[in-house]
Amino acid sequence: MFAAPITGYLIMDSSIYDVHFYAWSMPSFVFESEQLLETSLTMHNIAVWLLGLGIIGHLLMLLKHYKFKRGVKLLQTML
Amino acid sequence: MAPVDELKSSKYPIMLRIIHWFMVLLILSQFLNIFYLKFFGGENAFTLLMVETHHATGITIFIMLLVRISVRIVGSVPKLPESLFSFAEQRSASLGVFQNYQRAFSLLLSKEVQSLGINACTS
Repeated sequence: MFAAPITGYLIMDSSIYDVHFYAWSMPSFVFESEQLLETSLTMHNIAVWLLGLGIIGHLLMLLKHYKFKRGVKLLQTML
Repeated sequence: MAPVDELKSSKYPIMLRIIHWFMVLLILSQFLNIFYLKFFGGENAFTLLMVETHHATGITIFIMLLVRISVRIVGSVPKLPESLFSFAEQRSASLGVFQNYQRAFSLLLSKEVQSLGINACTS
């Protein structure tokens, strides 16, 4: 979860565009770099896929505990 | 006390629950946003707005993640009943989470990224 926004920030920061957070301009940490941009893009994609898999796994584990440990509703602790 | 009663009597703090579900909505919107951009996005003002929203939402998620971890460290969480998860399950879950953090940080701090950052700074 940390990797996706950080690499996303790096994508914008290393590109020719400025990073904006709604109306505010965000600080720049790296210089424009084609190589860094490409690496950040690849890492962002990997991070997002891993995040997606993590979310699916999270839901499956919730379902598993709901279904196989009869009566136990973990979801209720978060509602 | 039965496991179900134990769980019903204890919930996560309200702040954590709000942050959790708000993050769920934001992350879902990020996936929908990028799905739209990938398959239906054209060169128009709406696409640009979607891209900017994607960036701003990403930063919001990051900030909320930091807030959530802070609240988690400071606040209390419901104790899971021992009858629900065995000791081995609880230990292996903790180990798994620790390994995930370790992997994420290793990825970010890998030599490749460091060298790219140095190259970018010097070029």
